Amino acid sequence: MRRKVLIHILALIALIWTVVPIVWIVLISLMYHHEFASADIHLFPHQPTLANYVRLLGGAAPDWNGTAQGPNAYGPLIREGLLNSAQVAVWVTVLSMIVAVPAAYALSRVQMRFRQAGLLTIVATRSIPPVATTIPFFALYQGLGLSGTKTGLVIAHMTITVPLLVWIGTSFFGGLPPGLERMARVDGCSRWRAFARVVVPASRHSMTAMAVIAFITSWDEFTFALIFNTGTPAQTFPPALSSMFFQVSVPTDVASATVLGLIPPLLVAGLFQRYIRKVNLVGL
Amino acid sequence: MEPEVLQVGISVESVTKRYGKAPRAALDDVDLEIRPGELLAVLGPSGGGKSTLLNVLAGLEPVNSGRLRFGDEDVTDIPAERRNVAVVFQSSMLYPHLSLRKSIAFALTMQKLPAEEIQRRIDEVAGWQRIDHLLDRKPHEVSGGERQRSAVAKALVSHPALLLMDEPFSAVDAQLRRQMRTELAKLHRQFGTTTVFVTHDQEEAMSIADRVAVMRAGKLVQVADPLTLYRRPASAWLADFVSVQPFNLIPVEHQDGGALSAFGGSLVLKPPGGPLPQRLDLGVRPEHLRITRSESSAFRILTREIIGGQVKYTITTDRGDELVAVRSDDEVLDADTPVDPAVDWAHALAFDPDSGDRLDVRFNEVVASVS
Repeated sequence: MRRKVLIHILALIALIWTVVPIVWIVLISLMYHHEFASADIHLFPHQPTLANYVRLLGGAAPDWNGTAQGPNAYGPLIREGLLNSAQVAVWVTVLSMIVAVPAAYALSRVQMRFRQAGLLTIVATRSIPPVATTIPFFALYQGLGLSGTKTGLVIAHMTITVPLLVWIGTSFFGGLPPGLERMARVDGCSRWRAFARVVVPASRHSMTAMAVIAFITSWDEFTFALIFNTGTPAQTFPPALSSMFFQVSVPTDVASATVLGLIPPLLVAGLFQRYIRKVNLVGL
Repeated sequence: MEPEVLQVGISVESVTKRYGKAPRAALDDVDLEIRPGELLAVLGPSGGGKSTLLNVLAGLEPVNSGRLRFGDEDVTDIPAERRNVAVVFQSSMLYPHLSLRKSIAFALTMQKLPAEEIQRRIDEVAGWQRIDHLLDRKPHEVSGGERQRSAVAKALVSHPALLLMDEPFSAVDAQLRRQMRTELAKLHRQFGTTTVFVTHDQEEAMSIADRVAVMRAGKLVQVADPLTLYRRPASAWLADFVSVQPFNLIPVEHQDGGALSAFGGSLVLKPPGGPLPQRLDLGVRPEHLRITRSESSAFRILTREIIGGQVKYTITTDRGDELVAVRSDDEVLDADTPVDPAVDWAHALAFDPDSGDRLDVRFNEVVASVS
């Protein structure tokens, strides 16, 4: 009983630790700059407004004193960043799944030599910080014309997501009952059909979780995006937000841009959370 | 309604299966005839080749050499999906992501049978297996026994030529296992589908099978009905393997006057009958070793275990030689009681000490006394 109470208290602390900064950012984004700059630090806006969002999305909105305010100058940068991030993240998710799912499946289900060594190599690549590979990537991309392109960024992101998904997927597929494919074969499926008709549907929760992880990893990626795409039309949201943060001293604007950037990953995680939760429950 | 039964004989002809560069073949020149409608248990220790045999019969593993025939048809090169076999696997018996109804219907859907026919067959097998009310549940939403019955329903729904079962009851508790065993025997009686049942549990194999094929190290050691296997095992290893209680294998030496001496003279036996081979090991099952109180004996009771209505005694000499005897009478002897062992010669077996093969020796049906 005492242990249970302790676990609940620790969970509550972790929840506060995680949620409070996000809640605070959201509340700041609902304040006028005047209120944020003039009043003492406080949590809840005295005069809540969506003006920061309206201006960031290209509209005009009145200020705290009714003065008309035009669109935010950084709006196009942020909007373009969001769009680019979405495109890159979707491509990274789709391509990473296409590469990683069969690889993970093969590594977990097919008897092969050096399987463990292969898995360890894959994990080892995850320990290399992205910044360590930027110079070879940069040199390569200059030669191939991929620098400053979304294609280049998709490829760079896949060097992070593919090993990650292979590693996670190997564990997921390893958890499937060992005779599943054999049963499908006896029931009339070819090897490929057994994979498509049985293994994939039986692992749909795991695969959804893998896709969500790939999407969020790509959406959040900063180092490659900053080095390869900053200042180009292919700039994604994280470097765009960084530019805005360092160049504009209006925290309420930056807060609203941050909240806009939080929405897609939260939406994806929220939409698919029932699958992700099932992964935790049944290991599939 | 009478079930549609397809009774096919299976021939395994000199089949060898080797995995990669493994030094030993998983199946080593195996010849086996499975009779139409027979329930054959394939029994053996781990690594004996029994699961490989099942996979080869199912078409899940190609053979290196030899032929397989279902009836007159050579199926050696026919893949699993076109062999018309059904398998109840040890680990995954149903699809975890599908309802029982969809799991059972899966093979029929793959055969592209009309929906009405699929429904008819599902209703049929669900009725036989008493799972009608569970069809819309997922496997994890039903009990272990219900899962087993559903798996058997799934296997039977496609009217297979051959039903293969790979240790299907190994994951359930002892009581349910006994119950499932009885149900399987009843079901086989009802359907008569040619069935191969793989198990490492000799009690399970002996209790349900028409015949038992024992495998060891990739080779078929003996194929016989359970009683023959028990009474006339091909080797000392097999006699021990199919024995419920530890098998007594006694190395004996000849003495003058036709007597046999064992354990450095602690045990002297006088078998009835004619001359015996010069060298032999005597095999005696615990239920055929009788013990009686005797103050002058070199043997004493070391342990006693009460098993149902029987008492199992381990008796020993000062040298540490041990024998096991089982008694069914009312008297229960205490530990340290001195006892004389006597052999029920009608059931005694003789084995070659070098090869372990059974020797064709028949002792007369006389219980020999101990001198």
